[in-house]
Amino acid sequence: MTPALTLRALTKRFGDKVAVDALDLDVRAGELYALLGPNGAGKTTTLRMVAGLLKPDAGAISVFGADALADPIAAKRIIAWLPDEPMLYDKLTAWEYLEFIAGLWGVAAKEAHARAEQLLKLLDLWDHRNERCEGFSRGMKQKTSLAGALIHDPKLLMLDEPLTGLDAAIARQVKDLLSARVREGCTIILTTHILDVAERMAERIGIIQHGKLLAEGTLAELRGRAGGGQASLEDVYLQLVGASA
Amino acid sequence: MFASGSALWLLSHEMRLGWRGWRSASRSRGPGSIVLYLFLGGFLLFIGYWAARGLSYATPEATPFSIGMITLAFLLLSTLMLSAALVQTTDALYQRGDLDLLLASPLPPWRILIVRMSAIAINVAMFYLLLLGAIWVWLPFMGGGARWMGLAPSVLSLSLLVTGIGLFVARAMFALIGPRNTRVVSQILAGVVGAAIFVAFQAQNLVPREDRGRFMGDAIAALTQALGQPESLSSLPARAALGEPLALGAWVGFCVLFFMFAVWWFGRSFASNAAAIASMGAARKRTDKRVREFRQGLVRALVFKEWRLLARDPLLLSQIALQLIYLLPLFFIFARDLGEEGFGRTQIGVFSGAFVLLSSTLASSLAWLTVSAEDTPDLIAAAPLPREQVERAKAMAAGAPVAALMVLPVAGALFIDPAAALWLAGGIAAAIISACLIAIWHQVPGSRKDFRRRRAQGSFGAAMGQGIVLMGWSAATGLAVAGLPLGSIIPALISLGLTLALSESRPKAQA
Repeated sequence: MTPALTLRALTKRFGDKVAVDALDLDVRAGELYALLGPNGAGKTTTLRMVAGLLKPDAGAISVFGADALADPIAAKRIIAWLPDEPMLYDKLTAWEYLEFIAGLWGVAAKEAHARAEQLLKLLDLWDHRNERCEGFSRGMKQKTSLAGALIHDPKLLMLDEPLTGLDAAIARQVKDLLSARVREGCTIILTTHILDVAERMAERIGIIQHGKLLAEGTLAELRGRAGGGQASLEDVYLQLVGASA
Repeated sequence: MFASGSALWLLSHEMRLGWRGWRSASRSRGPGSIVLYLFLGGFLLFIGYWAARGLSYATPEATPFSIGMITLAFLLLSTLMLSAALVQTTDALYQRGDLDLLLASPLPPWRILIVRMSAIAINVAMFYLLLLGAIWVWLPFMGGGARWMGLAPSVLSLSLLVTGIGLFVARAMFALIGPRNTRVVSQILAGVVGAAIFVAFQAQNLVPREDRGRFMGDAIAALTQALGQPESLSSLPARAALGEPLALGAWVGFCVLFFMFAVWWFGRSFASNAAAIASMGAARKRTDKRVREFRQGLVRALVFKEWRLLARDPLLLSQIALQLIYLLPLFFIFARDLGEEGFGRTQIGVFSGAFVLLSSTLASSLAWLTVSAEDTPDLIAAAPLPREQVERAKAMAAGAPVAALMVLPVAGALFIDPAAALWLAGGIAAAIISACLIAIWHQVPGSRKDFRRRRAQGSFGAAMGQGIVLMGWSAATGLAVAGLPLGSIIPALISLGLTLALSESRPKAQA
């Protein structure tokens, strides 16, 4: 089966600082992969390179077999990228925003209309569809942004800290939606500092530090690397990151 | 230097932020910019020297004429200052920045307010003080110059008075029309006040040439009659500016007291007004149950998105309205000439050139916004689209409404002279296309909220080049319509050549 994402020797430097250091990574199709690491480890930089927002200095990116560097447009068609700060237009309504995103990704109007309605209802935003985003709470903005990411039914969804700043109820809605997407065959990569989320939701976890992959595997495999036992992901993470620091 | 939390400490904090904001907005900071500022400063001082020399020969006398003229100048100055003060007062509350932090601190709100308003008063007066300062510094060194030393403190006092009035007006508008509308109205009002003065000065153009001297004489006589009464209280600012010590003291004292009173009065509702604005976004809810069908296609998506954002930008709309208002004097001249001489090719040529200039200015402003001001650049960059396609669609969103607006003058020209209409349509098309292309080539990407600041960050050379290109198209069209098609070749070639040069000089990332 073609992997959803393959990174080979991916490297990005900002001046003298190496943000991503010859990173190799494989994400299987249909899995939820959590990318963990301390602040400045290179998680967001990696995802931004995959999304086509940053040009790597070296290495290769393949999305479902397509070379994302040689043909970024083809890769972008099947990718959705959701940063930690919602990408919204204050002066557009939620409905207008989704219409705009559907237009950018070339989704047929009828299909986009049906998906927008479904997503807004699922995320409890339907009654707010004709309100401008400037009046939305942080959670509503994040949900609208998520609806925008899903409107073109991406095969690979990348989320950077998707649950930051959300209350418990909204976080639950988002988590349920992501789980449902994975069940439907979508591949999800998420970065998070909430280790409990990674522990509960992710099939495999990658720990990145100084732009390199420290460890990767299921929770059980990571526990094994960290010395076994029934340690929580937090213990395993701190042990691995601490040992590497 | 100052006690923490004191008014002076806060004022120094404001000044530091203002200075750093100005520095970061300034594109060039190298030795070149220092030389440029030194040159400008030197030039200003040079002009100031000669102005001060002229003043030193004149004796400031409180005659009805001098009082009337100075009072009139102060009135005009105060309307300009008031419009700036209104915008800055509402902005001080809207562009909150650190306001929440300051209001959450144990400092009394009135202290925060008085510092912020003082900063506004200084800002409002800064431009005029710079101009006056260049004269003022020379006055003590000239024989009779010292008698004019009252000018600068009089103007600074005026700015305090006007800022105080701005506070009263802002509070009244908050109460009457709410915080959101106050901001929109104050921005529009600011523009209209400035433009109204400009347009009023052009009213003489409505009068036939032979009557213009008599018209101006009558107007000045009426104004001195109304404003130039030395014994009237309204002569106080003029007598202060003329250096009467008692009048100067009274004027400065009155303005400072009025400012303090306005701050105290506004301060009573300051915290609640700030809170009302902070919660404004959440309060704006629409219970609209419509489900509108989606439109199909990338270009439509981008164009409609840009149009919606443009239409929902009151500041931009007021700026566009201003550009139209500033064209009014041309209509005055045209109307007068029509009355005096009937239609002539020259008049139609001038008019056509003006329409080309207007369309290019509008297209340039809009394209600058649609191309450079993007609130979600990552979203656009992550979309499966070539960048050029996005930029073309954004430029189209800017150019299309201007082209639609210009259908009217072209249609009008068609009735008068079909050939002129053709030239006009061609000139408008060339100007709009040039404006849009230059906006793409020399874009300064950033958030829409920073529109005004980023405009200042744009390349000076590109802005100059764009101005010449657009004027070139205007001149070429005007000459062609006026029956000099060969004469239009030179400005057209200049515009074309400069457009190509601007294409070559675009920043590497855009190439």
